Amino acid sequence: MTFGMLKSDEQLYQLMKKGDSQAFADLYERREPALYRYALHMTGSTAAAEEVAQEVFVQLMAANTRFDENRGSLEGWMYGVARNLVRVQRRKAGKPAPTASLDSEPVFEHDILGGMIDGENLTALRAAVAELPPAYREAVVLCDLEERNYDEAARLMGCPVGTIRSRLHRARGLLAAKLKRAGAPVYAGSR
Amino acid sequence: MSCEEISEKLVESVRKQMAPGAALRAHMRACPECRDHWDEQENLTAHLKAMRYAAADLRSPAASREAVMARFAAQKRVHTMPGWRWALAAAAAVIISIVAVPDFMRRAVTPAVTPAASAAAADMGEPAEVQSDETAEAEGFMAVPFVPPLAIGEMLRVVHTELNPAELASLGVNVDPAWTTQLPADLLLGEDGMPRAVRVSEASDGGF
Repeated sequence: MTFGMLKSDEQLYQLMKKGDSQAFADLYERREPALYRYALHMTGSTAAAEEVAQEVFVQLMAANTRFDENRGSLEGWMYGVARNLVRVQRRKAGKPAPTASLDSEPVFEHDILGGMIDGENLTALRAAVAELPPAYREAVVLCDLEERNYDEAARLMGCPVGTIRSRLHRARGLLAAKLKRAGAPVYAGSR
Repeated sequence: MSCEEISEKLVESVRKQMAPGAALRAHMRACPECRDHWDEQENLTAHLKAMRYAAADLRSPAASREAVMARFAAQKRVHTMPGWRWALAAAAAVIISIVAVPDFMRRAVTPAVTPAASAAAADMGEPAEVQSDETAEAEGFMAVPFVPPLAIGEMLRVVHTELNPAELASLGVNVDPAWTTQLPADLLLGEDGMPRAVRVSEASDGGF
């Protein structure tokens, strides 16, 4: 962890604007992975995710960047840019929803829940997430895959907390039904 | 409580991996549909958790990071070039512009704005500007002296920025010495981040 990790995004941004490469690198290290994952889950494409994440930082360093600290957080601005880029990616792909499976499967490092949930079921879940309407998918990505609380997700999506909650609940209902139809085994049992 | 009322509490309990409260347990004892709903949501939570773990370490490849950092460094070089270098470049500008401008303008000037950038900019009402060899000169770009030649097929991109008169002079622009404020300008940057041509934006009210 560098010293820059103790600074807020906005402080790093101000330093970055003055040409501080370390501040820019710290900002990149802090925010890029989540932006990449967000774009990956939203588009289903590793190439598109890479392009989106990179372009967010290119826009951030542009002299005419429209980020205004008085109008919101830098992170919110970055997600706003990423959301627009994801929309463009979808339009480019010529379809309203992303592909059901990742165009090239990323390498997963973790032993997934002790191997309890196999690759087939994960693929089914990814396909189900990809088929959700974008607003529902975004709620699932932020709240359940990125573990953002409702307040944070609402800030990043620019909508009320209640909207996030209702979108997430509807999305989870749709996903549960799809998993059930796909025949995914049930591992629950804490009730 | 009705099933509809229970549903929201049920999802929240499952998401937080909490055991169902007394009211929820009582309801589920009498309601097979809500029991199924609980199981489905628990199952979904386990799957989402697996998906989260699987993606936890994912990020862009190192090459992508290096490209962004190089771009930042190149941009920084443009803005922080030492004064003596600007002066030297300015002194050379007159000679080089005579020799190099015609040659430069014959070179291919191809778009380098990524498709995502271009489309996103358009999406946000800011069309990304792309130059072609036919239009670069016609649109008022001047070649910058003393820069490495472009590689064959090297792509250029337009960067909108603000430059002070000394910086503009060093890029070969004829500037009034009394002019002190920064002016909006467009730079054509090569893939190495070095400016190859400059144009003072039309928004400027002059000074030269």
